[in-house]
Amino acid sequence: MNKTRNFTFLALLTAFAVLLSVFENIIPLPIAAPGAKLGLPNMIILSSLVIFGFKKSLTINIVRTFLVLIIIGNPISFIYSFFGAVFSLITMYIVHRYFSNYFSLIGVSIFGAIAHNTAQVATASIILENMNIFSYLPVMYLISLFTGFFVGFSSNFIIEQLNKVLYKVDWR
Amino acid sequence: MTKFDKILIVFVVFISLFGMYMVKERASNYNKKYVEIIVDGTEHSKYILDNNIDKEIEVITDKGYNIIHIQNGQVVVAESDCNNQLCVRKGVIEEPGELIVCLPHRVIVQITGSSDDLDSISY
Repeated sequence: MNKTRNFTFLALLTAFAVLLSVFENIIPLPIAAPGAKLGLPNMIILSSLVIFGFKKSLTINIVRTFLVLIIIGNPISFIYSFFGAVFSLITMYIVHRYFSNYFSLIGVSIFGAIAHNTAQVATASIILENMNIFSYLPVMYLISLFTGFFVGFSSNFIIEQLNKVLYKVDWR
Repeated sequence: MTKFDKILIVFVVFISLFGMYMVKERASNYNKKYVEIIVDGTEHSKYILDNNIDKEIEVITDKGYNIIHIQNGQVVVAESDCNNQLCVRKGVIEEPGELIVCLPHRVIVQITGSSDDLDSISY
């Protein structure tokens, strides 16, 4: 029974993350920088990292990027989002696991956003064979402060609600 | 929000402002500017950028097209059939170090600079 619930929860969270990714791709941002996004799916990823741990949130994240590839159908942006997602999750895991005494979820998610941007710009510079793309990075760091703050702030509420639900179904 | 969160935010703001300053600083000591159009990592074409130039360049790849206008010392991607239109929304660039990237078509339009001063030769 536990296993079924486990699967269902992961599937639900993955579905939410995919939904947010697609939604994020539809709404345009006024800032024209490559990969400047709100990072909405990161709310789900961060919440699942806190509640379910590293392995499960990594699964959600990787499955999400593949599903978004199928839905949106852009293999190039898949490469960026894949490396960005994996690198930012590893960073958030390390910060959350070892430095959670110092940083709240807001700090963790800012770290994640910065890692995501760095990985994406690095991937873009490798694919396009052009180092000048790194000149986008300072602007993107500033943007990621706002998006990271927003994501960390909202994840607190998601985690609170998820914990209530999980307590009710006696899952943990 | 802990104390370290605030320190992190201030630190990142500082880093990014410093980075933007460095990008600007690198751009400001050139007296000759070029427009480079790079497709798939190889140079497609290169033009001297000054106030007299007036050109319309059409870059056609197997993935689509980008129409680039060079006018009054400014460069802009006027039209493209890529799916995210980021290159068009990026707008006008005019300083060395600035660039427009069209990721779907793997097209880069960048402004580079060179200085003819003796100072730079002595490095």
